[in-house]
Amino acid sequence: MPVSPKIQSSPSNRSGSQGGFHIVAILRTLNYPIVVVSLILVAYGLLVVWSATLDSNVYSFNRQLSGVGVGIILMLVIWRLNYSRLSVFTYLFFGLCIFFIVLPLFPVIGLSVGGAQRWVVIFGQRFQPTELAKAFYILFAAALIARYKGRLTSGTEYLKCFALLCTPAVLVMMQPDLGTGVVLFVIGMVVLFAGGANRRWLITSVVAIAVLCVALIALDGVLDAAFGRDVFLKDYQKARLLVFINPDYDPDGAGYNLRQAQIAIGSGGLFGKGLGNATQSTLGFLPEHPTDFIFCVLAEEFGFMGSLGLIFLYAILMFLVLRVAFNSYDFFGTLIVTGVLGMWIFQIFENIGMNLGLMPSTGIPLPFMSYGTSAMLLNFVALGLVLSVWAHRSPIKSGVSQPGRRVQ
Amino acid sequence: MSPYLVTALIALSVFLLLLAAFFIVRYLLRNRRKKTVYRRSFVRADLDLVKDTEQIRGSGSLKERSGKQGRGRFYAFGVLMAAIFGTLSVRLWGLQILEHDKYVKLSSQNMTQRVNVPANRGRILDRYGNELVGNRPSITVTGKRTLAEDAGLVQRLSLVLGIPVGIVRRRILDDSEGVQADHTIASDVPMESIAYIREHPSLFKGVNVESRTVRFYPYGSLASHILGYTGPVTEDFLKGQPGDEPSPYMPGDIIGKDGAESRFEKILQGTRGYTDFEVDAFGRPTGEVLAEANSQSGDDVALTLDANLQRETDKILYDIIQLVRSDSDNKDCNAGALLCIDVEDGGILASSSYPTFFPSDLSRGISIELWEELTSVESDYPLTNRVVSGLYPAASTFKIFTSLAGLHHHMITDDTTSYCTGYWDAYGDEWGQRCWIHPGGHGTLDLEESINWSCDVFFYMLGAAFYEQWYALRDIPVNERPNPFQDYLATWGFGSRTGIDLPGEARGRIPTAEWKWDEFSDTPEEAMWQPGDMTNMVIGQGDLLVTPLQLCNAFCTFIREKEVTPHIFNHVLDSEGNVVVTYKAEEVVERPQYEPRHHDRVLEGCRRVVAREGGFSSIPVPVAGKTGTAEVAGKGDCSWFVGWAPVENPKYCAVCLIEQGGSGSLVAMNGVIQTFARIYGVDVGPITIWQNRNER
Repeated sequence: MPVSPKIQSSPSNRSGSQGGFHIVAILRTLNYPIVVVSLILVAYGLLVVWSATLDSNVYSFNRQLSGVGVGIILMLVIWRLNYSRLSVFTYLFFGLCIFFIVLPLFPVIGLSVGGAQRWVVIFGQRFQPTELAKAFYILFAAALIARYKGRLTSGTEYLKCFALLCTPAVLVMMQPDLGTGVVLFVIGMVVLFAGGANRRWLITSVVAIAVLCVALIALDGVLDAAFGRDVFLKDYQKARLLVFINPDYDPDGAGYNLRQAQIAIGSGGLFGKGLGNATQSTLGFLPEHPTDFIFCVLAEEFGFMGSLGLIFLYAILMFLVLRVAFNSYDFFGTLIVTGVLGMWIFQIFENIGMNLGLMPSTGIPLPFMSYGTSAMLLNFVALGLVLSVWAHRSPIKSGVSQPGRRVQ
Repeated sequence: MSPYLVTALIALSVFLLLLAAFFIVRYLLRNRRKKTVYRRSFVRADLDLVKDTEQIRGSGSLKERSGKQGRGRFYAFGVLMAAIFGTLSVRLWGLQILEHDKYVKLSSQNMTQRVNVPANRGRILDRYGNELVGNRPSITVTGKRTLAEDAGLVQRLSLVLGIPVGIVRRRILDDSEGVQADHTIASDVPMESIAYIREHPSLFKGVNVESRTVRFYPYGSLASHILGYTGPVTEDFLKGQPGDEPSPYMPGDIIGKDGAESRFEKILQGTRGYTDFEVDAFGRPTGEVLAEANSQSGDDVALTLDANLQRETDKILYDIIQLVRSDSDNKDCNAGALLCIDVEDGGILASSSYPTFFPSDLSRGISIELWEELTSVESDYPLTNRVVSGLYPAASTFKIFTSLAGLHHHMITDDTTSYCTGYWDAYGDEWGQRCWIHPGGHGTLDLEESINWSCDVFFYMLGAAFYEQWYALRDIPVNERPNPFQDYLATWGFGSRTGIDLPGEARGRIPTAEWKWDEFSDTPEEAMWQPGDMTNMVIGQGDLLVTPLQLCNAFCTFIREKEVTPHIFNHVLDSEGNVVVTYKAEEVVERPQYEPRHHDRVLEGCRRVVAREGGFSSIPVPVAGKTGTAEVAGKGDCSWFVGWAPVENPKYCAVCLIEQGGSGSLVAMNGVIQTFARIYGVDVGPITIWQNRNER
């Protein structure tokens, strides 16, 4: 990594000569609207998870609560870190990202659940390391593309970046975790887009990927027959796609979840059935309701007003985050926030869209709402990054800590 | 996916892949010219960055960037986000507000399970309240058809129930109660067997013991054609006709299939009760009862039948047929009908049809064997109610109505007579027709005597007169030419249903020139309306067809001088025995027309018939009637008799028909004599068949 020795600015140690550790000044660097909105979201999510896991011995509300606690601490730590220092670690992030993706494949700690190597067990606790890989992926993508300062016009360069960004996504898909893979891919494309990549190249690559997907789906049956096993798409994934195309397909099998989800949401009505009265989800008609289908529980309990309120909260948060991206001190910060934004928006759209029958079903959690500590930690890490970008958007506003030596 | 879709997708993807490859190659070629060397790093951008150190501070921030492209893309982000949140909101609105009701319904279907309590079916009574059809409890062993897959279980059931293995298997697989429903394996199972099954649930998994109520017929086959039978509802019936209201029935329900059971189904059925439990996704009750309703028994229907008289007519009909079979080597005789109507209100007092069947055999689903037996030619179709569905030539009994037609149209006047030589050839030898007395002859007869002696020649002449009247109008096309004769007969109810409250009533037929033309349109030489068609119809032969009920109803109309719709419905009793509905006759607007003078002349003829035959001498009231012998192509003659009593203020009218009863109407007359004897409580001695009397 070439690091420019010329770039040196004022002293960067926090306990510098400018007055030390002023708590008020520090707190001023916090983006309060984002914090407030996200805490409301988290509280809302905890409420719904609490009602959804009331009678459950599989899901533990306390675990979720501790996830939120650890997450908030992580967020605060990252908020205080100067993100711009991180831009030098481009390939370290890439390596960490790949590491966390392949972590479940390691023998002792890896855990296979339902035919997919997605989990690791450390100290008896289960984690989904791909969630953390997302954070490193965002940092990696932002650091990589920021180097071009919005002038990624060379085709060769674009192809290289595209290949680098696609590698983790493809690896995740091979776990297999199609949903997270698509999330990574979307993050990559969003960062490329915001990073100023040539429009024609962007369109070409998206079209190429789409064509590849269609070709895979179309040829999947042929290939399966030729190899005698599932080559690309698993049978359940194909069934999900069929359900998406035709919601009435196999209502007791592959289409069961979608059908039950729609019943749960639709029966909620305007004001819902009230907290803890989500009969569809609590009586067991909807499996995995605290995780992938948490939105159904919310929609059933709080009705149209409750779901609209959630979407409203998300919209506010996303526009606040967009504002951070816009006001970032440097392009790296912009791209970090854009990556986070792309990840959240896609997850929200995919998860709620899946619940509503607008998107094919994949196991993607709803940010700040779904049960799952790994995802909750990631969301707070991402929030911390956004807050850090905001806190360090200018030398004056960043209080005690000056944006120090930035290497781009 | 259809093969066409797959082919199209593959073609499309190959095309797009080629397109993408083309662009990629093009760009690679273009960029090759600008290729520059860069150091160490995989990506080239680092070099540029170093050069820009002067403006690096804040240079990457969008605010400071001058290029419109970067900002534009962020605005695009904003628009995309708004679109996404907008889409989600609209879809939510659709699901939660617009389609709310639909999903509430689905949700409650999801989590409620209904346990149905079938309603007791109403009973069927006779006019005095005697129970003709009732209910009795029956302990029934049932199971789904999948039970047959377990050979050991079938074996055990066979041992416990005492039924051969093959039959147990067949009953389990019998879908006549519906594929999804529990199939009846055995009914009226003794308590010891039930106890054994209940004590060994692991040996009899999937076997249910139910206490059902089954239809109970205290008098066996008595009036079976009137009562009909019950059976499990069919899938076609459940589906109903498009546009019907949703069927209140469920698979496994018992409904009336024929006769009164079917006609009064709505009254008898009652309303099923239910209990709705809340259940979880695995069907386990949560203990909460969401709704409950008690079942409501069906109401009892009382018919106009008199059970005692019905029992007698059933027996009389049976005895006559057996006597004909034993006495006269006439083994073809195996069917008949005997009907007795209350003349005053048209109520059916007794209605027998032979051969008959046992409704209890049919009530719990008909096995294929039984059904084939009941519908075979050899069995003479016992399920057919010959009283309302059987079609026969009316024969000489029809002369009453053709006489009235002749009188009405002034073809017969006070001094009309005929001279019978036993043979009539007014249309030449080719068309010559015999009177039944041929050789011989009745000599000179007026109308009354012609009816009394049932002289055909008198009526051939009447038929010829009507034919000439019709033929005189030959310039008018057949389908527009008036048929005054047939039209007059139709006013007596021939050729149309009487409207009795029983299913399966036949229309009968009055042949006309137009009908014949249509019927034989393939063979025009046969299709012409000939004088013979008219002269045959006038004596109740030819293509004329009536049902016993039609004939009886026409006679009733004649003797009471008023038309009334025959019926079997009398009243409805609710479960506490209160009369809720009683029969109300509808006013009949169109009535046959005749002058009282003509009526008296024909009646006089009928009176003389009975006086001459003498069989009714023991009946305490005066009786009148008319005989008939119907010639049926390819079969023996049908024997008819219609009689009524008393002649003044008639009260009872009875029709007896014996299919292939041999030559001579007196066979059937016996049925009416015996019926009246039972009604008036007199002993007329045993049934006697007069041999070799070629009497009509």
